[in-house]
Amino acid sequence: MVSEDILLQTLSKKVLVATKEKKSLAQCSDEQLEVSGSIVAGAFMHGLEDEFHEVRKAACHSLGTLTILSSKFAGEALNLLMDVLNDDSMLVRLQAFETMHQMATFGHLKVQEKHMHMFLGTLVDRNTLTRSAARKVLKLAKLPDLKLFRSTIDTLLDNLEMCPQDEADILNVLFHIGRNHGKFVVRIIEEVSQQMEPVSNGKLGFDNVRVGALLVLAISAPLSQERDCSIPPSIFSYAVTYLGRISHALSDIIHQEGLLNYLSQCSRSSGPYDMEFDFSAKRGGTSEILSPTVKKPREAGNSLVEYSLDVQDEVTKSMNVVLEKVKDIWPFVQAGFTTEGLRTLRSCREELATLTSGSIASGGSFAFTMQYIKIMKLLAKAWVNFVPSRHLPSSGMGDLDFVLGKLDARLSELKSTFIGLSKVEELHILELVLVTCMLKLSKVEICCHLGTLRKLSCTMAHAESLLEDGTVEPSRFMIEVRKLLSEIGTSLNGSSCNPVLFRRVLESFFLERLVLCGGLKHIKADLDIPDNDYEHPLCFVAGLPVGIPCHITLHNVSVESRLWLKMTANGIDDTHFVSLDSNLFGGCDDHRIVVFTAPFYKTPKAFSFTVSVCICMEYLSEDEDVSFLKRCGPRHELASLCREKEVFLSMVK
Amino acid sequence: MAIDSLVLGAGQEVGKSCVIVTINGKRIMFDCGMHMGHLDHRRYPDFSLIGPNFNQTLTCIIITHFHLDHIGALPYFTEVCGYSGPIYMTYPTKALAPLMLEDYRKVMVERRGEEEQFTSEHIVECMKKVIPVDLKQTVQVDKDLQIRAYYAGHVLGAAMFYAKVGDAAMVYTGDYNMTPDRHLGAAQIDRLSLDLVITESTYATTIRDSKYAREREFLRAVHTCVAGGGKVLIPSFALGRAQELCILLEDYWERMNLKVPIYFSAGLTRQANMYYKMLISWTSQKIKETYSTHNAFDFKNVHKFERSMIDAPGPCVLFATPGMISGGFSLEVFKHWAPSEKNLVTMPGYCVAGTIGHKLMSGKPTKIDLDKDTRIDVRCQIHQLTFSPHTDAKGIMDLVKFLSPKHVILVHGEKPRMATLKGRIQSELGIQCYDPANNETVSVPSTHYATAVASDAFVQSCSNPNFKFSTSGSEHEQGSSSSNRKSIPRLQVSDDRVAEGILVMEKNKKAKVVHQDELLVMLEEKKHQVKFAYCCPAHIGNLQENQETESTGLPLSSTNNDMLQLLSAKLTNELSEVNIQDFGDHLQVESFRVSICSKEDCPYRLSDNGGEEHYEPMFFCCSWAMEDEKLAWKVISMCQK
Repeated sequence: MVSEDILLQTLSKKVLVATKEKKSLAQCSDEQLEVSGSIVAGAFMHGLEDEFHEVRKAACHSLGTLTILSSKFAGEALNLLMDVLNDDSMLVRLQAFETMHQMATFGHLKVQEKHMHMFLGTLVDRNTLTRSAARKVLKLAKLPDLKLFRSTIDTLLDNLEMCPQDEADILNVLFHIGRNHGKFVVRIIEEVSQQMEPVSNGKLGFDNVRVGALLVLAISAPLSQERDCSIPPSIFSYAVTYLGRISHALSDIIHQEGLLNYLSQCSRSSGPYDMEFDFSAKRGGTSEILSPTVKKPREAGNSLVEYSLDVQDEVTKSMNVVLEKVKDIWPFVQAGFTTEGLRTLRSCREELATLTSGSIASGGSFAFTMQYIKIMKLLAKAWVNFVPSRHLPSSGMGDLDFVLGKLDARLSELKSTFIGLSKVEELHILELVLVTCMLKLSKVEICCHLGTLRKLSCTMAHAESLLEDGTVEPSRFMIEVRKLLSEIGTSLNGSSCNPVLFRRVLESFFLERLVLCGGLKHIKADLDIPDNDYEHPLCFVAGLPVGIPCHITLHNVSVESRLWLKMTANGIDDTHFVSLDSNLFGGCDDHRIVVFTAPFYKTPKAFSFTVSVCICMEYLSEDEDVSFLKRCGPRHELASLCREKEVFLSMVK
Repeated sequence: MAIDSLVLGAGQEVGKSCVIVTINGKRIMFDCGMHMGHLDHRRYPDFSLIGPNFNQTLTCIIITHFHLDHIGALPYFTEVCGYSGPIYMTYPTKALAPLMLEDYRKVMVERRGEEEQFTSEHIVECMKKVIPVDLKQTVQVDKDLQIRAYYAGHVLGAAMFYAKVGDAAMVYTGDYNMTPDRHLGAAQIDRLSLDLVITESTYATTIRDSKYAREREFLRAVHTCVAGGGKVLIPSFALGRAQELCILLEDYWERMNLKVPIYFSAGLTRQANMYYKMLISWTSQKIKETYSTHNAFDFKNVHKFERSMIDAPGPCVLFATPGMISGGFSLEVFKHWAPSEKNLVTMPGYCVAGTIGHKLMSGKPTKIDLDKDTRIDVRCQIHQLTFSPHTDAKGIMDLVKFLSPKHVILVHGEKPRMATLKGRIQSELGIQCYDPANNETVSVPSTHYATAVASDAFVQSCSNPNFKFSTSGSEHEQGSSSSNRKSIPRLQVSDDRVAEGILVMEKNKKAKVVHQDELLVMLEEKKHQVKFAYCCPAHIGNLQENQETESTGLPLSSTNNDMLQLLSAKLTNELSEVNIQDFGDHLQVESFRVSICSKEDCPYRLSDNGGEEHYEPMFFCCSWAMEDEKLAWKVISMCQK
């Protein structure tokens, strides 16, 4: 690890005094890698000014990693990063935002006045991605004085007027900023409260979005950790009339009822507020959102925020950080920047790969996240074919068919091999299944129309049952699917369906952020065939059964589940199933071991052959595949619990 | 062999760049510029120093880029002075140079009413002699001289030139920029083996800030001004800066969705934009990548400016020439816009003294007297641009370090700063550096490779393997646990081939490398060997006493052979590592040879000064060769004991 001085030196072309002295010091301590100031001088500056945007982007990215180490370095780096927001490549600009967001996450983002012109400029940028990236950073930013706060709020309001489509996001940002800067909010509200009063005829000027935005700002103040943030109670009453819009904007934070509760409580008292913001209304729902990862210790002490920190499990926390990033690919994918999205996923994968140490990698959430990323990759690849206004990629339809099939299989696997999925998590997966079905249906070229339609309605039914108790709001997409299904009716007359209908519904899909609550368990198995490899095959006599000794370890498999050993003789394409009796297994529930000799009957007349062996679990699926019923063996769909294992056999001489 | 560099211009100053370099008999003129600050004979380089007949003495002229301080004197030199040899420059330079020269001529003659130094026809004729070159294209000027151009950034078409004659090679950088800007890339060059680099040193001591900071300040100033309803005047040179700023503004306008119009004053700039559009391959990576979809020089928001629009209401941004508000359209607009505090004037980084630009930059005047009758109230804001297409001190150091030539000559800079940089190059990089003044000549030695023939025996000796065997047993493995495991020392074979030979250079013959055995034959000489000899006295008593103490039980005897054996035994005892051979009458250890000396007057005997002897001393006569001197003295000291 290099010293902070060396880090700082990389940001300045001038050789700093500190590193000049350091050089002699470093020579004394023998083992240390000797880095002299003049060699690293301005390394990042050169990187950020490079002619190739790939280099500039990489420089921004690595800055992000290093800013975690030192806040002083982060401060200096921010000076450069803010200027990068003026780079001529959008990819570089977005990466700069990403880096800033990372800095903010670790509490190293110290915005100064000289930065503001450039930064606020991006809030009114023409590009949607830029605006939303800037707002994402703003949610976490800590502004040092009222002047900056005021200009930030003003620019956000300008943004709102210019781009009404950003309304929900802007209100959300205002709420976050307000919570971070309670005192400033009070000051601002005092100044503008006149504008917010009802006009003479008794009607509130609420069609004015500006007022709405200020209301959101105002109601966030009591949640600030700064005490004595008193807001006139009447404001809360005004906000109630605006409930729909606000709760829509804050849907990731609080449920509508919770918000109403909160508003009415606040409007009754004139502060100081001691009431709890009733997040519990959305508990178990998407409400872990106050980004557990983001509000790190610096906000500890505030009971309200800590509340959202109930994800105590470190692994799950870090997985959530990764999942947060996964969500961000969606705008790219939707806009047709698939490569960009895939690149992000790849970096997520790489990030996960670095977490292989010990318990993390073996944890259920890790496996889940890994799977999830794979699914996202497939989804992104499939989605390219549905992006409007772009020519179809050169790959043929068969390719899409393949991708969708794989996506389908992966999703069922995800659904069935994890236990302890929360309702929200399960709904998220179901939604993805629905998307896959819709994707299939919206392409006429893909066959199995009826089957897919059946699967669609089954999945929807499953989702409906989860939604039944009303604790979780269905997404817009689900509502659309529900409508569509009722339109099609129960006739299931596939031929009458128009792909355009499905496609329209797909447009309403938006990838929500998936937040893991922890407690996930991955159902898996380890299969080992001892002393068998290419050089040491098992012996058999053609036509007679052969026993294959299997050492099996089961993880998290319940006693009730029906397990099968699937054996396929390679090249002959003949599959056998052998049932595994769970009672055979010793040990406790989450870790059971057995040695089992599996019989393989139809040994071919061959000198030698291989058998692929795999442990599978039967699970109940929405659409039961009747084709399985024809012979003995599993009746439902199977999910494989381990990788296929090759067994080598050769004839007895 | 030497490379002589005669600095005719830009020595310890900026302006009229011109260096005459003589390499192995070839004379190249790098750049042929004029000085903008002088109007007398100092305006041009002193061509008389080249010699009487330019066409005979100069092999070629190389022009790095189209700026007047690098090309301004070219038409004068070719048409008036009569040079008619080849002239090399890049394609864009050839395209844009006539524009520059013509513009300059017009300003000189039509505005200032001076006597013209060259006519339009001269420019046309001069350009006919130009041979355009492409980047990285090696041009064979004549049998011996090769030149090659490398991308230099700085302005469109700027190049660094590499020249090679025989084994001597050099690079003349011209002006260059190591950081890319909005429309040009960074300088690029191969790692070459060079005797000399002549580099510019405009920013010999300055280390510049990030380019982003410059852009940010500029955009902020302009945006604030137009947001407040003001007009922005950007007096600018037609080529280069105008395009860069315009790309910057265009991009910003696009992103911020601004609708304020940007204008170009008609004339040179629009014409120049056309050239830029055509010369895309010489621009930056970004522009090259995107030009198939959108040519960056197709400015969407830029319109043509009419004189009538000067007093039109509303904000706008205007690019106008000339850059230093020394007259022309930018002055006209300035007169109208300066009195309003809402407006903004941006100033280029450098203005010649005496221009309005210079007055505005040096302090903030409130009134400027244009002439006797006209006085302008200056209330507008002034923003000074810090854009510069020159590399900074770190860039120069980086380039010199990268090329690692044997010598560096600094030109195109200010004297005191160049001295500082010269010191740094010498102390930090250990490269000899010079900063000659105008009309001085610097002479540096050049490389000359001599070819040598290798003799067969030498070649054979080189290909002979030179095996070395060594055993390596890892010591720690033989620890406590290795009782049952025998450690087998591993045999390591190394084959470090060493070619040893002797370089022989005979008169009128090619140099030859021979094996050492061949040398004597070749020179018809005998081998001489130097030997040392010493007749060493030894006291028998000593030896005998030793003998007794070691109690080997040998009978005492004073025969010579016994004495030798005695010595042999003793030597074996003491020097275990050497091989002692006994030949009866003498012992041989390596080249050391010892025998009992019976002669009374041995020539190698020193006079024995130990007068009080109890015994008759014995004498060992020793001789040895040079390489065993240490061993010899060891044995002798033992004999003496």
